[in-house]
Amino acid sequence: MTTKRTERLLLLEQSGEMTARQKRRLQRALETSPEIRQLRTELNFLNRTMLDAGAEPPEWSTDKIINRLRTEKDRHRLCMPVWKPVLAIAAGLAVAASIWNFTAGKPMPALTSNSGAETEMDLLWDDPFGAELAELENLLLTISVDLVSFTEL
Amino acid sequence: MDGDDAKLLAAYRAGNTEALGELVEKYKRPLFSFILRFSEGREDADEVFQEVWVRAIKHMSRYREKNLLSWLFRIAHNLMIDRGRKSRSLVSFDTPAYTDGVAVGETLAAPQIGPDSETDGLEIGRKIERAAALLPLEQREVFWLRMSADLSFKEIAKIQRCSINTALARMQYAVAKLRKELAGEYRELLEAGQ
Repeated sequence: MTTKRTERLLLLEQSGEMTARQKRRLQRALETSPEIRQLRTELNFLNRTMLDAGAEPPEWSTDKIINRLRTEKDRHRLCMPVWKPVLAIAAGLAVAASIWNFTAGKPMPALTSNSGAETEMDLLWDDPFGAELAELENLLLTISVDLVSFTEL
Repeated sequence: MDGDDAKLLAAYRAGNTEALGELVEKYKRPLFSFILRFSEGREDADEVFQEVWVRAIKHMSRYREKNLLSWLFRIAHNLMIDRGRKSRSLVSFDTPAYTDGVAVGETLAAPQIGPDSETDGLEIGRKIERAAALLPLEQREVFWLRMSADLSFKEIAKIQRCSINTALARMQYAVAKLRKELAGEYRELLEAGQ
């Protein structure tokens, strides 16, 4: 086994992430190689030394964190009761306005017509093709009456 | 999540602010030390430290991991990436800046923990701190997360969004460089430390 691979096994051993198979491999390497044993001692030393080392935040840090969280919570609580009802009222108004607009903008046929009679809309309707249709009818009639003179034309 | 942590969080949600104080107290040392090693000084580190906790509590509903500390480190890592992107003076973890073909992280020493504090006055600790400060950012981060915060490689890989093998390789490089850097003093350090 290469030293690099054994080094990885040593690192995994230290972090407690080794499988049973890896443990056996490392054990064999430790038994045969003084270099690996030396590296293991060094790594354990580094770990011990550095675990003890470290800095602490200022004493007031915890209070500051608690205060910041409290402020944000209060702000959140303050905003909640205001925007929710406002949003609900605005949505309600928008729905009401659109319904009113829909019903007021177009007269409903049922309201303006009598049963069986022509509706006001029907009376007002002007057929744009009426004149052309009448002209075409006349032409067809002429052809059917005097086909010979028409073909000569 | 650790049973105690879950209880403390539940107590905080129920209105007990002292419970949060206990949680902060429990994890402040590894978390603050880590942040301090990657920020511009104590004041800056304190600001990040507070922000990490505020974000963690605010987004607690998204928390799915077993280890709260690991999650805090992840938030800290992301926060420092964001800050790095905003401020050119800070070096980003994910996109190293290059000058003359050399990554800035390769040469930039971190403003590490001061000489007169933090490492319990141990000369050994200071020497290792100084040597580790010369490591590239990603290797340095793996080194501290593993050695100082005692996170597993699985957790580190999650924080750095890489594979376990990549995290292991970074650690290998870091250890190799430290051994080289401290070669002259290593035996002496070992003897003194034992």
